[in-house]
Amino acid sequence: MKRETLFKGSLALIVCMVFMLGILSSAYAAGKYKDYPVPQSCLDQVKKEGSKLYIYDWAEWWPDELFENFTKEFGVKVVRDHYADTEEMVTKLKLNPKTPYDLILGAGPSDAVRLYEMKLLKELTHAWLPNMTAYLKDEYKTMDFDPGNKFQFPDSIFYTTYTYNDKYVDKNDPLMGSWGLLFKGDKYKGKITMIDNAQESIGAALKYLGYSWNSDVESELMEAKALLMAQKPNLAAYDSWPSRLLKDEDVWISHLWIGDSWWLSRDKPEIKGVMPTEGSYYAGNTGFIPKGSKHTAAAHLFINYIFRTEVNVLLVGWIGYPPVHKHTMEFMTDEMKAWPGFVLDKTYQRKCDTFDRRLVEGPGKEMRDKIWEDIKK
Amino acid sequence: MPVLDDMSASQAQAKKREKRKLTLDITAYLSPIIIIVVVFVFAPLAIILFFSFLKSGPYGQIIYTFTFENIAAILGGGYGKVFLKSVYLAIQTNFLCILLGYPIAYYIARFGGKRKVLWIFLIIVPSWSSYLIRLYALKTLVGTKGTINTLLINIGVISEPIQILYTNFAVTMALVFAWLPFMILPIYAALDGLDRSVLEAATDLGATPFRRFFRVTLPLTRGGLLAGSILVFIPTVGEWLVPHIFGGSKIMMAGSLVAHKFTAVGNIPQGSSLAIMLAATLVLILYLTIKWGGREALEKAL
Repeated sequence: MKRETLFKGSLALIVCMVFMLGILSSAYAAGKYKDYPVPQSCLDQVKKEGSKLYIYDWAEWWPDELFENFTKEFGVKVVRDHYADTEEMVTKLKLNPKTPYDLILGAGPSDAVRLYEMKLLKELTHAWLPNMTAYLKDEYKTMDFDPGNKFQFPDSIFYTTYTYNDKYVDKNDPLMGSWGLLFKGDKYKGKITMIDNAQESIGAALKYLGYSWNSDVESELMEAKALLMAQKPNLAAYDSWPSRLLKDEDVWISHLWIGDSWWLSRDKPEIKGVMPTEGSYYAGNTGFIPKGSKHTAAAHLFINYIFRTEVNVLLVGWIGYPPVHKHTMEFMTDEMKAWPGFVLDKTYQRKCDTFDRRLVEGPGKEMRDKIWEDIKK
Repeated sequence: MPVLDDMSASQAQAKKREKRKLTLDITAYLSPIIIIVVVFVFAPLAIILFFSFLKSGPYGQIIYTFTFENIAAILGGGYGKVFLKSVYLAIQTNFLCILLGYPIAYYIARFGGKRKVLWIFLIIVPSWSSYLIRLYALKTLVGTKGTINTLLINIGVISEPIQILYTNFAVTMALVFAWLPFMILPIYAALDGLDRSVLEAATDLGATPFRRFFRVTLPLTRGGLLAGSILVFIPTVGEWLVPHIFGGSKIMMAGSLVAHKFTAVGNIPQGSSLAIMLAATLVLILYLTIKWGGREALEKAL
């Protein structure tokens, strides 16, 4: 008996050590991918501009450590200001194009394209972004809306799926696994939330109906509208950040961003993420430099910094959104790698749509606005 | 005679000069306030008015061309329902505030005694924290696992939590909760200033307490009631946070509609037009209230 416990104890110790070694080795291994520093001309320019960087992003999303480390390493003072949603950010820049932010983080391609078309963005200087050139996955360098990343860059991938609480929701529900659970889940009346955003909610409805997320066909959009209208009485709320509601069990099924979904299912095992079989829509968590920027070189220095492998590992491991860096996935924990939502494999990616200009211009945009207004009022 | 005429003419002139000097003096003394009001109240309003006649481009940029398009779009856009719903909710809130606020104010004014100041203080204190924080505090009370549900389950009144959050009831409750102090205070001021001897006279003349209240107390405190109504009604019509936080964004009030136009749709000129129309509606309502309730109400509100 005693021998057995001893054996178990030492086994646990060995497992523990192996695990520790694993973590340490991955930290070391991140160093095996070279860091390409920015050219001296960029550093000189940073000094000339006063070694400051004004960032406009979400509050409490990225690790503070990342910004602190950046300041420590380059002596550039980072000042952050936060928006409550990206529409607020777009409106602010639109009303005052000279708003002196140097870098905007955490937006999406639709914000970037609209702002670029309004001539409110500066173009990126790729010579100052050697890490991005080396490590950004090729598929994100050639996105249709901005081939060659002229005015924006992704730092990770966002997409929406849904999560449910298996204490209350039947795992064997015939609708489980489909967007249908959100749209036809009459059984769960009053316990469902949808993201409070026209593109996301209408897009999910379009996917459920088998159409393109980016559709601008009137009949398809009207079908999606009817579906959303019929769904409204079943909803507890339109809420873009329902994590707390899910945690408190105020609601059981939520349309949710993939990173939030990851953290929730980790903190509360009864909350499970679902990748809808019909597919979803993925796009980059996008950054760009607005026209009013007075510290453009520092912004480039920062972008190059977040594409350094160790830094990107820290960032992606923290936010839980799929990486766009070629090597970041290699350093993620097994727990993270085991979760399909984070891996976003090629098969699932093929089922998804990605950003198309029809979302922000032409009849598609107009109809979406009108539909969303009709649903909300 | 001509001499006299000259006298009165010069006297009149002197008077005029004095008057002009007085106006100038008043303006000079008030200038800081005037500047603040102009810069922070009238200028933004003027900008919004200016925007409301401009065009919106394909990506939501503002195009500086004069147009009546926005106003036409709004008048024909079926927004009447949203406005009516806002006005309805505001009237409802107002009514409930009076129903709850009047007895409270009455109690404090009549029976508060030494503790009057304490009661009033307790009513004002929550307003020292931010409006948003007060609303979130209320939200923690009404959730499925909130204080109210937990308490009711623990004492065995209910077995399943009741759904309060994200219902029409929650919106009404939050509106009343948020604006009640603004109703209590003016009513209290009116009741406190009420001359007791008038009430005594009514009793002496044989009025029952019921009759005395409706024939004497209520008419004499009408100013306070109207003042409270102005303070509650106007912010409620333009409310945006409460339907967002307590209605789960499923209920749209006029304020939410303006916010929606500005951000979600990104059409700033149309949002401005809506805001101007909302403001115009409120000014009209305010005008009617003052006309009906007299200047007294306005003075109490200020």
